[in-house]
Amino acid sequence: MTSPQAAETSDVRVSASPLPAAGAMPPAVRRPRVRWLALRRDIPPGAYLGLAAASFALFALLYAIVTGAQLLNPVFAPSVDRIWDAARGFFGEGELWLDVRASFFRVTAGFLLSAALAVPVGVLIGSWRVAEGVVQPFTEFVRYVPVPALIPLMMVIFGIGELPKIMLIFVGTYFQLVLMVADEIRRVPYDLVQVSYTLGADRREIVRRVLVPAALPGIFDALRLCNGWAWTYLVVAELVAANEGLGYRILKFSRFLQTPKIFVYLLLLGVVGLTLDLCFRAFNQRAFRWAQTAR
Amino acid sequence: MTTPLLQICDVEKTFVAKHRTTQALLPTSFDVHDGEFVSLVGPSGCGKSTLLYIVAGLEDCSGGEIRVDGRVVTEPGRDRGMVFQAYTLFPWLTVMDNVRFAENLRRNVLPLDDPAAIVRQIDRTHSLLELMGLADFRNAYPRELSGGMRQRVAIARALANEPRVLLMDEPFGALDAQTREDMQELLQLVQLHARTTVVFVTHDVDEAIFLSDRILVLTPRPGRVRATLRVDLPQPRSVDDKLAPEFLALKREIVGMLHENRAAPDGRDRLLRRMFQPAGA
Repeated sequence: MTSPQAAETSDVRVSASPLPAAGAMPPAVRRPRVRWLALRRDIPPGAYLGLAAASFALFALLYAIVTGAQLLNPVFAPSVDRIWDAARGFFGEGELWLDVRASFFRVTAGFLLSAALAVPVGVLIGSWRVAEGVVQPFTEFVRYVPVPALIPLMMVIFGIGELPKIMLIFVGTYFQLVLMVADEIRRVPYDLVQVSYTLGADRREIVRRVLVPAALPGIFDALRLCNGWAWTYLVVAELVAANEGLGYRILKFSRFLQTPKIFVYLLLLGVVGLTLDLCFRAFNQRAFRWAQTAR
Repeated sequence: MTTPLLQICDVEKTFVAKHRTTQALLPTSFDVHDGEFVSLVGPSGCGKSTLLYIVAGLEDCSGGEIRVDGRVVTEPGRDRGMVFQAYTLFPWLTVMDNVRFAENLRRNVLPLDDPAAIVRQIDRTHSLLELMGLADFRNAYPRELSGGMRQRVAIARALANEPRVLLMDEPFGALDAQTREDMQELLQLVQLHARTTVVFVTHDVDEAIFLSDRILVLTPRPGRVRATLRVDLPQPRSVDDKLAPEFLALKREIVGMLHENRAAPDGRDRLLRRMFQPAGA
């Protein structure tokens, strides 16, 4: 104890730090050290965003240097201002937005259809081994069929309108999603099933009130990933007699070697994808606060 | 004499694996009467938890039968509530909703035309939460609770369902010593007043004596009932009673039984000497 007053006070206070005199500096709180390289530990959120922004900037800078020095063939790697010019050209016309709209519709319709079927089927497979036996091996088999190989079949069955495009995206995502949903259900601890039985729940109630709510954060995360894959099937889907859409346009530009325009569309796809992903994440974080791990 | 509330009649369990069968539990019979607190103690692997799971209907027995109020039961049901060693709260439900889980299942058979009954039920849930020291946490999620609190919620959830018998499988096994004693005291008081019938599995002899009316000591695998001991210490018991001569005498007796078949593995002394004695000493 440094201050004489503290020494005089009752022994209860002895362990407390000496009180500063009135008007003295507030006690210096030591700032927690950030351990930048500690495994799986948090870093300040600002720093995380900064790193993310820097990675984009770094990539853009490297690209600008490489193309500026003409290290790559400018036909395939157009300079930054040519890409910029192409982008400005698009803003005048409405074609770009029509493409975004058409593609967004197709991807979302395919994705929603896939989610609407895969979630219940996945829950079924994850809950009952009998259902798993019927569905899972077959699903694993179909999962490895390359989606582009199905184009002719799709055209025969669904014609050349919107339907074959949506169905291609559906086929591309459904079989993956079913298995992911089933896995999430299976990951729910069996203890929870047992305790529900002893509380008087029957099998259907356990599926509806225990397995599904317990797996829901995982299921929504699977949906988020799946939505990403749906976008990657876009170009394949728009191989089928399309007249607009981001994928179709990229194919058309590449046929005429209009690489600056391709780059604008690729950037646009990235932005759309990232935005959707962030929306999913924000929703999951808000809806499933109970599932966030305490650090 | 009325029929016992819970009858375990010649229940046995054999696990059949590919190349061998393991007898986990030899035919075992005992009764548990209404309002009684019975503990099963025994070395690990003696089948005491298996027996409890069989009573709960969560596992099939290889022979014999379980009767509740004279009726044979083979499936799990709400007449046999259970508290597990692992934390089994529903993480997406608040404390309150966890406790009301069973009630919400029966929402549609609830007497909606009888508001008084509903009020009674809600009042009971609130009282239960308060009794278990959870009143301030009724809106908290399980992940925000300590281990002891989680187990209190689990007990409250089981009690809210008003089971005929409460099965407890080492419910305080994961808790620290201090919390464990607090929980024992709380459970004793609640059981004493509610006259809930309890079958309690533990390997903690102190815990068994402190809580029970009767203790069944099981032998190592394959398990069978080695002895039945009545605990005649007056209730409610306090933590200090754990040092009373009668308590210690009983403890000595049980520990003696549990140690009967224990011997140090052959050659351990020699191995210890070889590993840790300086060469040439």
